[in-house]
Amino acid sequence: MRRGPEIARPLSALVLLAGLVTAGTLPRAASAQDWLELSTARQADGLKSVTMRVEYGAGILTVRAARTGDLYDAHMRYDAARFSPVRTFERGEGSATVHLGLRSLSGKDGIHLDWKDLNDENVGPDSRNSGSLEIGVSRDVPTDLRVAVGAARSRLDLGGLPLTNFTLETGASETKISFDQPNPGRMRELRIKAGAASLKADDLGNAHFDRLRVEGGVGDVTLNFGGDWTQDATASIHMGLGSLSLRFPTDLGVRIDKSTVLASFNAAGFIKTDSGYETRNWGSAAHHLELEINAAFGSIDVEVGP
Amino acid sequence: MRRTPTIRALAGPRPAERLREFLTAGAVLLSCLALLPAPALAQETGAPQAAPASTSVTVSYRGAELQIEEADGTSHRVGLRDGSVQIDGRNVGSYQKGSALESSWRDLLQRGMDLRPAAFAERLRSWNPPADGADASTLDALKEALSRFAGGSPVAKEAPAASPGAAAGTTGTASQPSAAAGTVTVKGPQGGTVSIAPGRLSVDALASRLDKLRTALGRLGSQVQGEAGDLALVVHDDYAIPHGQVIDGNLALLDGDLRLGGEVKGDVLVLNGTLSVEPTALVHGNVVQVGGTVARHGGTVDGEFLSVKSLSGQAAAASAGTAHEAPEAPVVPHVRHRSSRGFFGSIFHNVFEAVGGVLAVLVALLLLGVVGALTVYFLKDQLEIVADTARANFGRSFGVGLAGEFLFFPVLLILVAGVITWLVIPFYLLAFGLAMLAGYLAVAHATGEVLAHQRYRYEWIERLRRSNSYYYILSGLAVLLLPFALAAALHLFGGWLSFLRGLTIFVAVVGTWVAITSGLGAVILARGGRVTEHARRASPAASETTEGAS
Repeated sequence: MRRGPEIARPLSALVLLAGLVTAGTLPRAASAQDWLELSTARQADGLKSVTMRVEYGAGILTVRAARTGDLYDAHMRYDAARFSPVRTFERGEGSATVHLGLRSLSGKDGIHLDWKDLNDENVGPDSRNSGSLEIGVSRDVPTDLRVAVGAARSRLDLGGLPLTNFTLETGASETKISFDQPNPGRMRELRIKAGAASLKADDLGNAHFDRLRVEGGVGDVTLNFGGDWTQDATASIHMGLGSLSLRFPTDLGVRIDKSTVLASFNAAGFIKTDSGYETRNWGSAAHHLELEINAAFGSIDVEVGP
Repeated sequence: MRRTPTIRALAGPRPAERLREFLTAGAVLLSCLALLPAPALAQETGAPQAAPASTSVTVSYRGAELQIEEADGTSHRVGLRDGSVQIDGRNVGSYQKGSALESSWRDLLQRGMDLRPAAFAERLRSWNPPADGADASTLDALKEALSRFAGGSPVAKEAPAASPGAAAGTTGTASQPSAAAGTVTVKGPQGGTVSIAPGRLSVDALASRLDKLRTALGRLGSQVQGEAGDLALVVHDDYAIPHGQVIDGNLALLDGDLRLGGEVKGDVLVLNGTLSVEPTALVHGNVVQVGGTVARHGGTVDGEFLSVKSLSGQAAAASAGTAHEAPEAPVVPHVRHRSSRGFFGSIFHNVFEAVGGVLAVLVALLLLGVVGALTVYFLKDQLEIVADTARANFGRSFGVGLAGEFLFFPVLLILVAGVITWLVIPFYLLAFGLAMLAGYLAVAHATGEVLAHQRYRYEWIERLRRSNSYYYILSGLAVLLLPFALAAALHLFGGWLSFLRGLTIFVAVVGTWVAITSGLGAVILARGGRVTEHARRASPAASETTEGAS
């Protein structure tokens, strides 16, 4: 009995299926590029407060102080064939909402880019042709700053800015946050939500926050709590998988309540008490930080020093 | 009076509509200008001697030549070429090649290429040619020609007392521009008037520059926006709008230096040149810059400062490097970030992801099951021999399969290298693919066979037991695909169990690879199911298959 033709039919379908799968995995053809540089700025003009949302998918992000008198400024460099700029300004009575950033034309908003975008030679931050976004935040107007970043190399120099709230949501990124000068006001909450990231924050004491919340997924998180402490504060840190390094100034009273699963904990300069770990100056320090740590896998290193 | 602040969304279709309106206004303005007789325009300007409208420089090994085009379209050429000094094609003398004169001339032209025509003209007039390299009469002719062709002094430097009410469309006591040539007033597209300052540009040249503005704005599309309405004032050279002067509409700077100290009720559009926003300036609209420079020395702008520059044709990476001092790029793991859809949005999203993933696995099971059933139907004996080989000699099969996978590319390279063997490549690829598929199905068959001969504590499982190859294939595939289904189901927990989901996917992928590899090895060992040498049955019971048994 000849079986050839009977077998050939399903095999042909299989080969066709394999071909389609292969074609689907081929790299996308390089599309035309149209690189633009866009700068925008707006004057503060008597505003009492502003909510600023920054949204950026992939590339190099810089946040710093704007020039005196400006509510904001922004400089974007991007491929207009792939991204479109977002710049909306809504003004109310004495306050305003600003939305700045770059949005993918593929329909994904802001940080919700997938691995194809991140691998793209024209998009990813480690690509030669990566775009960039530079944001200037008002020095004068109290600002609620919310930054959402996808795959980016971010540097946020927030020293001296009057931030009332600060939220950073980051995906796969390398982020450096610095408060090299004290916040002239008081920050209600400083919240950082990092996915797979390397995150380093310096001089957090200058942020003058009432509450700090850090949620880390996978990666290395380094938090330096130096700076000018003017009030007591609370903090909570939730880590998934990775290393967490915390450094506190000697004049700050710190109490740590930890809950860990398969995570090492090294707390140099702390003493163990019934309520957790405390610095020796807990009873005498002018300002206190109560810290709650939840970590699954990885390591936690805590130290006290100048 | 300040404009009442309004809520305005700047990204969206509205800017594009406004841009279209603005461009329409520009087009109508051009039409109006075209209706004006050129002599009348010249008469109104009263400019004794205009600066060049444009300049161009040609530099080569043989010489360097300057072409000057005046506002009325007249063109002049001055050049040093092949040892002779030429003015408008006429040889007025000779010069020594390589002399200080030639060096100075080349330097003058090369530096001038970066200057605007007015500034270049100033350089040309003030140029003192070195005496070394040509006789005095030649140098005098050259200097006289440059002085004549380069025109009068720049407007800003010779700005006399302004003529009252020169600029239509402006109001206030100090509404006069400080231009020497005054302004030309034409009818606007919407019944108003448009002023052109300093008003000594030819209609053709102005049309050309407005066209350039329109092209620049059009190319950038919705990135820019301008308030709808008329152009109240078009500036094409050095100009000043002093404090107290009001421009009742949009203002366009096509070229030159514009010192803005007064009030503009619309937008300011900058194509080229330099806009200086003085401390007393008040702009009710936006300052839109598609070229040139905006220098901010204070002032108030109700709207937005917006600058858009196209980098097309430039090295994008180089621009990025100079724009921001960026540190070294990190290695970024490719991870999809969890979205923020809200509580219920996240739940629905997770459910859809999980159900979708499980359905995809079921479809894969169905497809592979159909292929497996066809294989059993047509090639049952061969499949069983390969399955038995994989089961009886799993380690050996895996090793042979691994070797086969390692040899795949070298063999392919050999086939590619030998031209005549190219014909074999499609068959080689097809055979390799089929061997891996058949091996995977055989491993699934063996897995199902093992499961079927296990003893189970629960009676309902015993009832499900079947002893035929179709059952073996299907149950084996279900086991092999189960980790994928589990990974998909873990989507239900969103990001909470992302680590476990990743681990499950890893197990599934590795398991599939092991199955394919050992299956490939079994196919090779069994020579496609024809050699039973390695297919010793693990147990007598395993050799019994009963098609259709219940």
